[in-house]
This record gives sequence, C-alpha cells and structure tokens, in this order.
Amino acid sequence: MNFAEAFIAQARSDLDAHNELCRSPLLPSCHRLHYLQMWLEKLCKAHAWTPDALPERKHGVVSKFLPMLVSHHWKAMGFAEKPNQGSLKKLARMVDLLHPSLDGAGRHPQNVEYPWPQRGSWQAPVYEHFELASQLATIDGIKFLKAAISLTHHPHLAPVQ
Amino acid sequence: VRSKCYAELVDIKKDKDRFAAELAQSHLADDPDMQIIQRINSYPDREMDVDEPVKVLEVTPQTSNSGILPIYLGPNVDATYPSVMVVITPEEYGALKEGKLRLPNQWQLGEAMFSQAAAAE
Repeated sequence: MNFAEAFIAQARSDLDAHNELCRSPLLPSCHRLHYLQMWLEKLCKAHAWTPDALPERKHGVVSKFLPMLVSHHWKAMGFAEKPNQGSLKKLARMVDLLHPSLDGAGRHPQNVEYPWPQRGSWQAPVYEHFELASQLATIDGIKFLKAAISLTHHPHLAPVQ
Repeated sequence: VRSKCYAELVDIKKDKDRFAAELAQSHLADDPDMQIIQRINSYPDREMDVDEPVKVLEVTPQTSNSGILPIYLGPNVDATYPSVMVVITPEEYGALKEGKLRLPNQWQLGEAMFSQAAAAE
C-alpha cells in the first residue's frame, strides 16, 4: 500500500463511521460532522500530498483541494455540468472550520471537538447547531457529498500525485 | 397497551411520510429537471423503527453517472429522522428497473412521491 492508498483506506473507514453515526437519532451532530471532517481531509490529502513533500499546514485542505478534485472527477466521468465552484467552496470552507485549529481569525470558534468561550460563558459542541448539517441536506449539499463519496470509492478518477 | 403501541407506530409512519415529503419538496424546488422521486423501503420492513433512515431515491439528469451511492444524512434541528438519499441519472434508473443496477442492503423501491411525466399530464 502506498501513501495515497493508505490515506484513501482510512478515508473510507471514516466515511463508514460517519454513516453509522448518521443513523443515530440521539447523538448530536458534532460527532458525525467530526468524522465528515476527518474523512474529507484524508481524501484531499490522499490526492494532494506526497510523503516526501508534506506541507507545514496540516488542516484547511478541504477548501483548497476538494472543489478542484470534484471538477476533475466530474470531467473524468463525462458529466457535462460544471460544478458550482462558489457553492462547493462555501461547503468545503464550512468543513474546514469544523476543526478546532481553524477559527477563521476568531470569527468561527465553533468546532466539533472542544468547548469554546461564548458570550461570557462556554459552549460545548454537543449543544451547538452547525449550519453545515442543514446545508448538506440541500441539493448543493447532496451533490457535494455524492462527489466526495464517489472520489472516495473511485480515487483513480481524479488526479492522484 | 396494544392500541397505544399501534397508535405510536402510526404516528411514526405519518411523521416519516411528512419528513420525506418535505425533503422531496425542497429538492423539487431547487432542481427543475427532477424526473422522479420515490421512497426506498428496507427489507425486511424496518420503516417503523425510529433509527431506520427515511430513504429517498431521486432521478435527475443534473447528477453524475456514478452508480448507486447512498448519501447518509443525520437528524438535526430541521430533520427529525436520519435519512439516506440515492441520486441517480435517468439512464441509471432504467438500469435499476431492469435489474442491471441494484440497491444495497436488500432495499426495495417503494411508493412514488413525484413523477415529472405524471405531473405534466
């Protein structure tokens, strides 16, 4: 197994875990969104990173790479429609911001792992409504997820370095 | 006790039907090319279970020809139940009806919720 194959294998397992967590009517959305973020991050790293040139920045790769990967993927599959890059970038940015190390220069302290200070008190991820959870159920969100699932199962249909 | 259980089951069915209809309506509004929306049922039937996702098939040319890729969505403030969307092209729908493509997990096509052809009549 090479570097990309190992990352894809782990991304697939993160996707499976995400799907399992989606089935629970009791678990807060932060848990499945945590796996969503990890899945998409590894998917992008599988395509964009090489073991001998690892970048310093370890997060924020979804908005940097996923919209481009989706474009290549759709083209390779012969899907004539060009993806709505604005919508893809917006959703990908929302995914990146789920990670606690990225807070959009302090504007988005909400994340899926650790509590954050909020209006003189503290907020926990389990009590937070993440707008991304609603956006994923829209037509654009479904297209975004379908492309990511297809890329995860058919990584050869996008340029892997 | 028996009648109460039955009443609860009826409520869950109604609630899931309403949720599926809302999901379909919001997608219809955003995709004018949508051709078919249809429920998918579990086999054996678990549709009355709270943790069994509401499963919806959508057929539209505005999607890639990628085969059957179930998309899992969790419940949140706008969605009472977990759901699964399967979005395929009209060509893939033809293959599904002919048995050349299959739904996973022994899922079966259920009742139609929208048909562009029927709506045009």
